[in-house]
Amino acid sequence: MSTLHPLEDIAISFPEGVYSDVRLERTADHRITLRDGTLDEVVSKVETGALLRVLKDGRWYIASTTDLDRLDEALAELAASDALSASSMPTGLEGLEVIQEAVWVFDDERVDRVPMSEKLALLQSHAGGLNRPSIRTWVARWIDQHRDRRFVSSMGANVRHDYQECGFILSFSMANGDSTASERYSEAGHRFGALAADQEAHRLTLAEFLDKCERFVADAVPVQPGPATVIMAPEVAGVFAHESFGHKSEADFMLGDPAMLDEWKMGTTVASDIVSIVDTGGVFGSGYMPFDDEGRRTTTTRLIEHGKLTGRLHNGMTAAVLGETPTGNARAISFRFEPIVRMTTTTIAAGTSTKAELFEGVADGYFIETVKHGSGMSTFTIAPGLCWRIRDGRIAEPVRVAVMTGTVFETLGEIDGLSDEVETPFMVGGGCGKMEQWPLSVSFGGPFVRVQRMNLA
Amino acid sequence: MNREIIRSEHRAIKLGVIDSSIGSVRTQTETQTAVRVMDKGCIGLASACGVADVDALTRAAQESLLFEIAYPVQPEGPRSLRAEHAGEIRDVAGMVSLAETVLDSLKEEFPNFVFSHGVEQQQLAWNIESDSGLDLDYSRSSTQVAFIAKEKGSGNIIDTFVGVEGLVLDADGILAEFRSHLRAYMKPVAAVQGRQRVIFPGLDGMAGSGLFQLFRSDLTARTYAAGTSIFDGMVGDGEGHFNPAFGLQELRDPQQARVCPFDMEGVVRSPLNLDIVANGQLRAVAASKRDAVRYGLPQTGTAVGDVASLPVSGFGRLGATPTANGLVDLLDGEGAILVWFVAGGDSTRTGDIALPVAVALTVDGEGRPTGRLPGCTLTGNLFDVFGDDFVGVTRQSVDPYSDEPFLVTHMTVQG
Repeated sequence: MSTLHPLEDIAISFPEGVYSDVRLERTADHRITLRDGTLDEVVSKVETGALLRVLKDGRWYIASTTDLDRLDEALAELAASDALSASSMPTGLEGLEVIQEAVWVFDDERVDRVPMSEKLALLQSHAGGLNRPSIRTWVARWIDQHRDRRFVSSMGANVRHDYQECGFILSFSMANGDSTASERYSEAGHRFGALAADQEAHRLTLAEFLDKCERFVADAVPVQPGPATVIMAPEVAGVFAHESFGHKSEADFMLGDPAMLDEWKMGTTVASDIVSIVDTGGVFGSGYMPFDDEGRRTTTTRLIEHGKLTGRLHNGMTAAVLGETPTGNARAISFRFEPIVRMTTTTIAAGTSTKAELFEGVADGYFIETVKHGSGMSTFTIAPGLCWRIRDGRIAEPVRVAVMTGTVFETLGEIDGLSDEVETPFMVGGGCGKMEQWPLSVSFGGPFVRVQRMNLA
Repeated sequence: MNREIIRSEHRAIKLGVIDSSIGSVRTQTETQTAVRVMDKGCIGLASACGVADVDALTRAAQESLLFEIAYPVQPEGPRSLRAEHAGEIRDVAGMVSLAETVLDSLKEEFPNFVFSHGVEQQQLAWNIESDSGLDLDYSRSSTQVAFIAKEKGSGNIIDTFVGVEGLVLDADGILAEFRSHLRAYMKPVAAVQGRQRVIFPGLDGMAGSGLFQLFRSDLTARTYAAGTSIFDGMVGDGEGHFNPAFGLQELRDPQQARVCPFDMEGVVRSPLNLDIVANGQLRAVAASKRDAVRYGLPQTGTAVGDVASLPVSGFGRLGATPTANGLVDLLDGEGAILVWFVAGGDSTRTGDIALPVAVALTVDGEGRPTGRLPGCTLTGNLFDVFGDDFVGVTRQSVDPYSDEPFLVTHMTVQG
C-alpha cells in the first residue's frame, strides 16, 4: 500500500452500460487553539470518503459515503436507480478528454507529518505578540489541512493530485476606554517550513498592524453615511472582484435564461476600460487546483479584458448547454457534495498608477484597508474592518464603517484607478460559500483600486 | 477518569434542481463518533468519521491528555433523556413526486422565472453517553423545499428565494407560500426612505440573523469577561436597556421549537429555555461549564460545537417573547416593509447596524405582501431597534411549517 497516497490502491469496478465516476478524498486536518495564553484545544482529524456519480438517461444519480469497502455495490445501486424521467439535456461528457495523470506537489513536505509540538511552538511564538495592555482578550488558532483527491471514471480517467495549506489566525479584541474593536491577523501558505522561516518578518508585520489597530480604537469616528470615493486595499479589492463579478461569471446561473445570455454576449462592456479580471486554477495559493472535480484540467479564464466581457466559468454540463468550452471550474468542498461551478484564484489585473498617485487623486474619500466579510448578488456588500478617511490625498483619521455596498455594474464602471502591483493573499480558515457548500478554498486579490462612488453606511 | 462518547448520524436525500427541473438525486449517509476523556482536570478528544472503533478512539483521546488541556469541570450525569422531532419520511420516488408537483405549478404560473437549488430531506440524530451515567438522545427529520428564483433577463444571478422547511410538507401549502411571495415580487413599487416599520420573518436565516449578530458575539463568556463587549457591565445590572416588551431567549424546549434539549456538554437546563433579555433587562451570558470556571461566570448550558471539537460557549437557536398573536396586531392597520433577504450586513462596535436588503416586500395592514421595493440599506442602532423602535413579536409563525415568529421594529431606509 502507498503510505503517502493510500487512495491510489483502491480498485473500482464500474457498472456496465452507464457512465460513472468516483471522486475519492482523504483529508488530514489539525487545529490548535490558544485562548488568552491557555491551550484550549488540540484537534487531529482524518476523513476518507467518496462521491459516486452515475449518469443514466441524462440524469445524475449521486451518493456520498465514508464506507470505501462498498464502492462497487454503491455504484451498482446507483446504476439500478430509475427515479427520474429521461432528459435530453447535454451532459458535458461529449468530447471529454480522459486524463491519467498524477500531480503530487507536496510529497517533499507534508504538513500533516509535521509534529504538533512544532506547530504549537510556532503559534505560541506569534501569540506572544498579542501581549499588549490594549488587547483585552485573544484567540490564536493554528489550522492545517493536507488533502489527496483521486478521480476515476468508467471512461478510463485516473487523476490524482494533492493540496495543502497551513497557517495561523490571531483574533483579538482591543479596547481604549469605552472604544473597542475586534480584528484579526493571519499568515498562511502551502508549507510549514516557509512559515517558520518567515517568523521574524511576520512578527514585525504583526506589531505594525497592532499599532495601527490601537490608533483605530483610540480615534475612530462614525462614518458619514452615503456615497463616497473609495480606495480599496488589494485584499479588499480581491473580495470585491470575487463577490461583485466572479459569482456572476459562474455559468450555472445562466441556464434556462436565453435573455441573460443575450445580455451577456462576449464583447459587451461591463466595466471601465482599465478593468481586467482573470480566474486561474493552476497558480499556487489557496485557490490552487490542477484538476477540477470532474477530472478536467483547470485553466486560466479571462473574465473581463479592458472592460469587456471575455469569458465565463464552466463545468462540463454548463459548457455543453451553452455551447462554450469547459474551463475546469467544477468544484466541491468535500466528498459529501457534487461539483458545481466555482471560482479558483480570481484577481483584478494591475493598472499603471503608483499607489501614491491613486491617493493623490482623492481630495475627500475613504481608504478601506481590511475586510471582515463580503457577499454578492445583484448588489454586493463588503463589511470593512480598518477604514481611514482620505483628505487631500493623505490618510487621515480612522472611521467606523459597518458596510460598503454597490450595484455590481455601476461600481465596475466607476473604477478610475488601479495601482501597478497585484497582491493575492493566501486565505486560511475560511473560503467561499455557494448554496450549501461552504467553505471552499479560493483565493482573490488585486492592486489598490480606486472607485469614484460607493455607498458607505 | 470519565469518558463521554458522542455519536452523530446524518442521512439525507437531495434532489438537485437545475433550470426548473430535477437534474440529480444525491443520497448521503454519514456517522461521526467522538470520545472525550476527562482526567485530573484535563480533557482529551479523538474522533472518527464512518465506522469507528470506540476502544481505539478512547486510547487516542487518552494520549491527547498529554497536551494538558485544562477542563476543570464536574461531568454531567447521571441523566437519561430522549427527544425527537419526527417528520414525514419519503423515499426518493415520494420526494420526486412532491418536487415535480411544486415545480410543474411554478413553471406554469411563473414562466418568467427560472428555479434552481433543490428539495432535501434530512435525518439527524445525536447521542451523548458517559461513564457517569449520561444518556442523551435527540433526533430530527425534516424536509426543505427551497428554490432560487431568477427572473429571466434580469441580469442578476439570483433575484429572490422561496423556501419552506418543516416536519410534514404538502404541495398545496408550499405553493400557497411561494405564490404569495412571487406575486408580490412581480409588482415593483417606488422606493421609500427614512424611518419605516420593518418586519423580520424569523430571528435566524436570511433576514433576521444580522439583527442579532451582536447578541451572539458580545454575550459570549470570553468577550464579556474581557470587558470588550458592547454590553459591558449590563448583564444583571437590573437596568432596562431595551424596550420592556422585548424578551430574548436561547431555546432548548423541544415543545416550543425544533431544538435539542441538551447542549454539547450534556447540560439540561431547568427551565429549558434561557432568558437572555427579559423585560428589557440583560440577564445572561453564554457560558459553557468550562468557560464558567475560567471566567467566573454562571454556567448557562450554552456549550455549542460539532462532534469532532471541544465545545465552546455560544447561543444556539434564539427565540423572542411573543407580544401579539398575529402580524396584523403589530401593524396598526398600516403597511410595513417585509425584509426577505439581507446580503451580508454588519454592525460597528458602537451598535450601529447596517443591513443591505437585496429583497424587500411591502405588506398591507393585514400583513399580506403587496409589492417589491428596490434594494435598500436598513440602518439603526441596536439599543433603538430593540428599544424605543421595537414594536413586537408574533405568536403566529412565518409560514405554516415554521417555528419562527415575525419580529417588527422600526429602522431607517436608505435608497
